[in-house]
Amino acid sequence: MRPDVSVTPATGDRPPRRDPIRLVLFVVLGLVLVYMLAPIVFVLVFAFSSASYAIFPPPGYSVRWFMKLFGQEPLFRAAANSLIVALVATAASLVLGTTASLALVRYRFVGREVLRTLFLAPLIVPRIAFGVAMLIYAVLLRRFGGLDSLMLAHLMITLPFAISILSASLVSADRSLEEAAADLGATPLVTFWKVTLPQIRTGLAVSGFFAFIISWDQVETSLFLVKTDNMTLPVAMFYYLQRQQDPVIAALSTFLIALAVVVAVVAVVTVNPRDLQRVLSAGGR
Amino acid sequence: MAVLARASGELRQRRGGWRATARRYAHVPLLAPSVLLSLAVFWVCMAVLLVMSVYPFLAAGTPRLTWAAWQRFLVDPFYHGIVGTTLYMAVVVTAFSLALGYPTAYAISKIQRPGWALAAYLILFAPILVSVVVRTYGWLLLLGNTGVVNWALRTVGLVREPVPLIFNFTGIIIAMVHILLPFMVFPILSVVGQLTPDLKEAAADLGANRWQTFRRVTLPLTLPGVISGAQIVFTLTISAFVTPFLMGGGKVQILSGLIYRDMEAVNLGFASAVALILLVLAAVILAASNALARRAYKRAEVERV
Amino acid sequence: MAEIDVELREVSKRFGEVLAVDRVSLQIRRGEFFSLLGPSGCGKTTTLRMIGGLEFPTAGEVLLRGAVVTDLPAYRRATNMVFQHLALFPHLTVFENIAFGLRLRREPEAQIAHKVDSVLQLVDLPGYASREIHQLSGGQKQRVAIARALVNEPAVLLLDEPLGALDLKLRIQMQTELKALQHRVGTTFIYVTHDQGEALTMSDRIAVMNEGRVEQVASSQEIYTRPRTRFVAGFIGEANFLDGQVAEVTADAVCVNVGPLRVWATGDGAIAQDAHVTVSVRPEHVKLGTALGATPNRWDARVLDVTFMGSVVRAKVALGDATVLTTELQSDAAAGLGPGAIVTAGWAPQQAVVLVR
Repeated sequence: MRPDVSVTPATGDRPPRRDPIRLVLFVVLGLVLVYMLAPIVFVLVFAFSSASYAIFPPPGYSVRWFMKLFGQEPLFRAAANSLIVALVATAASLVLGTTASLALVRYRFVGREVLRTLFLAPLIVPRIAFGVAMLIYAVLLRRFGGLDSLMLAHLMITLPFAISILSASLVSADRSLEEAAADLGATPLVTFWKVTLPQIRTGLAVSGFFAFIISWDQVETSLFLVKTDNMTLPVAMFYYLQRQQDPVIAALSTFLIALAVVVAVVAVVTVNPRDLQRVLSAGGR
Repeated sequence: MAVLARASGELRQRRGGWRATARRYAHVPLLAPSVLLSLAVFWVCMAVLLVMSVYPFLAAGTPRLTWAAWQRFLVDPFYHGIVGTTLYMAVVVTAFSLALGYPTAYAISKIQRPGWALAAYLILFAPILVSVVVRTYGWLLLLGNTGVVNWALRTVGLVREPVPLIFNFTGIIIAMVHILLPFMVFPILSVVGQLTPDLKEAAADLGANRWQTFRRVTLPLTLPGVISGAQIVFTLTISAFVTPFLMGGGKVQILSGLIYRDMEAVNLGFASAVALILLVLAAVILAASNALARRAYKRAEVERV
Repeated sequence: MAEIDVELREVSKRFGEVLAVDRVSLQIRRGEFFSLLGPSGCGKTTTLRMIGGLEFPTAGEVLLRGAVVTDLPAYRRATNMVFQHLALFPHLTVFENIAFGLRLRREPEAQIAHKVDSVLQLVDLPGYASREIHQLSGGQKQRVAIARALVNEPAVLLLDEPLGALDLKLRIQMQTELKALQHRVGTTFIYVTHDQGEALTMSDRIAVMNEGRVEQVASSQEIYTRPRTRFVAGFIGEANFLDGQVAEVTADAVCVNVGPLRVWATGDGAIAQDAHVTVSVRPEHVKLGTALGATPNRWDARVLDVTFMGSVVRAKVALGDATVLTTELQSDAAAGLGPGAIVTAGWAPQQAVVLVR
């Protein structure tokens, strides 16, 4: 070793900076994440608690609430209703959302902006206000108490999301591909099916996803439109909670949480993050 | 560059065949079902709501034109109080969401490893998939006198009697912030994500310390996201029903609860009026904050250049 | 007389306030390599798209092999286009891209496979059928786009600046290949470009467009040596412009007063006495010193500056006070030439053209 050779450290060779602000930020993040998970975790805990009211720590563990849940036939019917309504609302949102977005994005015509505002207006109306309005309307048309009024009401709320997201998707679709298809002999219908649709795949998935979740979890809009026949699951749970707070609801919630986890995992695995980024940031207005 | 058409120049307009006409009106069949549905369902029912608030044609007895439903709000201080509480609740929820949401968004944007960032995103946004009823129920369990929080506080020795955290305003705030936090974080995240490091470096180069850089560079540039988030959270709070109702236990009076009670009492005319007041409130807040947002956007754009 | 494959009659296209194409009339012959050349925004691409059926004229008629197709949409026309950004379907393989048009016509799969193979041979990509689009290089994608269009055996092939995205060397190579391809296949090619060198190299005839109008339609050679308008002279190659008034018109030459100078040039068509015209002469035709042969155009000139450009040298010389010419000479002929030198400059009258517009 030659003592007179000065050793210059290579760039990037400095000791890592201990940044206090960064530390604080990450601690806050950690706390917030705990805060986000807390109620969900404890619902799961109480679902398996042997006590019939919410006490921590649980005196023991049991699955009796699950047993009691399986006897609750009205809840299952409510779940089925919610599912049907959500599926119909989602399908209708996708179809109508796609056609409306195509018109709004691809064509220039008088009143286009007005129409766009018209379609997006339901987004700013408070759901409970809309619920009241729909009730009055449904009674007026003697359609109160059926699944159809629920489907329509949900559709009115989910459609703006679909239009917003699909419009963003269509804007970023490559039009020259559609021209190429037309040039090669594809009629507009064939072009849409073979070229446009594959390009807006992500937009369709996100729209469908949002529409389904919004409809499935919808309370305020359904609240005034339901009777015993067309009861939806979230409203049924809401009423149950008002009468009693036994952990049957917790047991039910376990399944709903499990469903949410599955959906989240599927979404993360299948969707291309770059497409998702593009669609969400553009559709987030 | 192409020239502007001369007014006198002959440009004989072609009378295109049926194809040209079809092309010109192609958008009509695409729009028709959505427009018709939107008009027939949404807009008509909103109109019906308006009518109902002054002419309760569905109520018992003979309907007549009356402003009673609206007057209630002008005259009775009880109802002023309800509006006040609603707005106050929204302000508090928005403030807390912002206080928590901004650092959260900032922190997430600084996560290096993509796996951890994905986990953070999931934990923050996945709860939206779970129904608001379930999550509110979770808070009822957590915050009750025999719940986790009180158990922890008593075990540590901070309190001797259980602290009432549900069926009051505090409970509402805690639960609402939980529900709405993702809506605050999302727009801020988008904006923070667009911040390029060179802007902060330029500030540092010009002599700004971290606080000054934050105040003069980061904050103004992220302001559009903040306003957007605040807008969403505020309007969602005043419109919310389930969480404040369950967490409030009937002790906290807000507009959505008033609607519910009016509906239960089948006071449809009154309920309609309150619903419209809620709508107007939401619209006004949106308009005002949009104007604010536009100014913030303009400044952010200019400074970026 | 060759048959006319494509005819445009007074075709115009307006986008809102803007007139993109202004009363364009063209006749394109069968088997021709025809180029639409002009700067960005001159309307050449819009014109091409109207031939292809992707845009529809606001006035005028488009005819394909004698039949009026003005309103016919793209999927009903016997044309196929090679798009500027290629527009290859990313979710399909090379085979599926090329077979797209054939499948729409419900041709039997065996026949399709055979056709795809032959066209891949034609564009020199044998065996690439099963590749994914993202696996291909720029030049390969280019060929697939051409193959996809040609396999449908169109009456006319339309090409919209297809070589723009390629680097220079590849571009020059593709130009040669495209020209050879066109000869082999015999299809009428209509080619849009803003690169005059490209147009001159490949085309049988060129239509030079500017601001929505056709300025001149002629063979490559004629466009270069006999430009009709100032725009064409300036857009193709380089030119010196001398403005003046016609002094004298003889059988084979025209004399123009450019300031104090009497300039001789050739005219095209009827040129009136005293008309205000522009004389155009290309830098490589302006000769200095001993290189200048016998010509009435010779004057003393002062060299202003000299720029070395590799194989050639550019010099600016001043004739009298007002007229500055750019001249181009071989490097070895420029020895001893520096700013301030006085030389004799001029050109042969046949090398200069009188432009009326």
